[in-house]
Amino acid sequence: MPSFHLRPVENGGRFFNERPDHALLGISPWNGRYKTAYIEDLVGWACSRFPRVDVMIPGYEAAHTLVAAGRPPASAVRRAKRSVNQLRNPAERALARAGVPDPVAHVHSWTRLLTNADYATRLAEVHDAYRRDPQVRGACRETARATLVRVGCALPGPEALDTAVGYPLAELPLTLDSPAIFQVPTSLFLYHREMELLRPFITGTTDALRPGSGQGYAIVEPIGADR
Amino acid sequence: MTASSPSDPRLPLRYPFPLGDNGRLPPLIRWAQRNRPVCPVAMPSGARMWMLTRRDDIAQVFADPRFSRDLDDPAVPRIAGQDITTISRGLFSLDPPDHTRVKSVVSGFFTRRAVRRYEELVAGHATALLDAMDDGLNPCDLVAAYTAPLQMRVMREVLGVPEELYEEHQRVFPSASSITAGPEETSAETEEIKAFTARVITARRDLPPRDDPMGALLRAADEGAISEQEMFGTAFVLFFTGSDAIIAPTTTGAMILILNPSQLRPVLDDPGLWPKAAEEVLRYFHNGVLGFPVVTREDVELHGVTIAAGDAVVASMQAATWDPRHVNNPEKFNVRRREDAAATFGAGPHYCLGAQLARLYLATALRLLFERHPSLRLAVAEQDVPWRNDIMFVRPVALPVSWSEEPRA
Repeated sequence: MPSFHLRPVENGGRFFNERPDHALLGISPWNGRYKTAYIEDLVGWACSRFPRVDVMIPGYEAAHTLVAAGRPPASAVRRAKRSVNQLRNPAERALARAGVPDPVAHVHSWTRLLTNADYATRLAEVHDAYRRDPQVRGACRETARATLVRVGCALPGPEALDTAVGYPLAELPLTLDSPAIFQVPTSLFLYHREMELLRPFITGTTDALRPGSGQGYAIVEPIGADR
Repeated sequence: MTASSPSDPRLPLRYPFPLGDNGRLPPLIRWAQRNRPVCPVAMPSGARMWMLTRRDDIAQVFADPRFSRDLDDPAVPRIAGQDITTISRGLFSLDPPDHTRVKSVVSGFFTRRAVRRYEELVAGHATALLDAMDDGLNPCDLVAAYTAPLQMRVMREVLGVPEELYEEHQRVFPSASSITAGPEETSAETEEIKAFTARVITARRDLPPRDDPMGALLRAADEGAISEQEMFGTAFVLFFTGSDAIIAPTTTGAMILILNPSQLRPVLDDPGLWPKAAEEVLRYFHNGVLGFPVVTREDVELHGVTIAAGDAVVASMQAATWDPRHVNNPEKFNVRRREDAAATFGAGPHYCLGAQLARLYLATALRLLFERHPSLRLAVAEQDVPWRNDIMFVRPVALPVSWSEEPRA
């Protein structure tokens, strides 16, 4: 089985936990890395490495990114649904292969998570922080901008960022408090690279958002990959 | 949150039940309807109740004077701790003849003829919200953009909430606390609605009298026709049932019509069918999986089960509107069906006061939505619609939708 290794995020040593109770894998659409085989390998490895694994996929806000990049809404929704399914299906397959009971219940779109009281509470907090905290606002808009660039919008203007920012806003609660959301003592959020979105609260430059107790972060890379 | 058909569930069933796909009848209720017409259920509060799922049984029991809605006694079994059934002497918790006397104070505002006065109100707010939706993000969450704010704007006018309390009204409702959240949260929510109701009553007493349900309750209390407690309890009930219970069918109605374009098309072609479509939405879904309990005053036997004095009985009104003894192919959403949704509104003296308003509101809200956006579609896969089954009025908490941006007429 292909293997991966973990390292702390920049300036995030205190959030690095090699033996968490739970791992949350972030997987993204419109990113060359997250092809079917890679997702299956990553999820399969995570299931062998951590006691419990959940996978996060985008909610309907993914379509806002495409609308902001100029697609008509109906077409943006169709493409976003297709892209999300291309993440969901291999993740569910890999969970099933690893023997996880009810694999469907371990792949979470942000939209489905609106039924989770802790997610909904954190989402309200995130929206509030976005309105009043320049650091959080900046990180969310930078994340939206980078996503827009990935889908081919080279120089997104403020209006495009307003449209696309719902994506990082919906993602942020899961990176802030996955222990509460998944009801585990400790949880490690895994992504393949540094995330601008996390910077304000990892570096402590904002008081508006604080990670929940037991929240950890790590970068996950295939062994042998260039840093 | 959904489940396939259970084969042999352990009894008592544990509430809340997993919902059927897209809000269809929960498989456990379907099982009980076939196999255990008087079925023991364990509630989140720990209380045991008997669940009825056949339409004839529900109609019989809820009209039977041996079953009482007087739930004042603290020892009465409850679904979720100190929930709204603890409100003394409101419409929910009175038996005839007191119930008849109190209901008559407000029932004149909710007849089929009387509710017509609200059609323009619903249409005006619906149009304004649809205009705002057109100017906002596409896709959007229909609950946040339309179904929840429409209820808020309409009901604050129907019930005469003074303007200075609009913000508080919006903070208190919809009351989305989980029925499994535990006694403290349930009790806190009940207290919050009580405090809001009290503030509305105080504010309304300082304002000139109005010809609306709140005005009628205040006048009846002043004249001694009802007690202060009955006035307060009934005002509380009007706010509570005028909130989530209206958001739910507008949301599920939009969803089921989106998912059944072959049913939507004839309604768009013949707007005279909107009342039928609204009726079918009300039949197909129900606001709550289980309604509030009644308590037996004496031992009653039903289908060979002894319901002992003091036992609580709950009913699934969705089971009543899906009862195959009365409804052909209940799982098929059919806007042209002959059977109506009356059973969804209950039976006996506690038949829903707002049934006619719900029908008019729903037909108007759905008509205007789909006339504006006949191309409305879900913006997520069906399985990603976030249904909550642990709230009093089950529904999707969000309904992401998108539409083709036709030029506005």
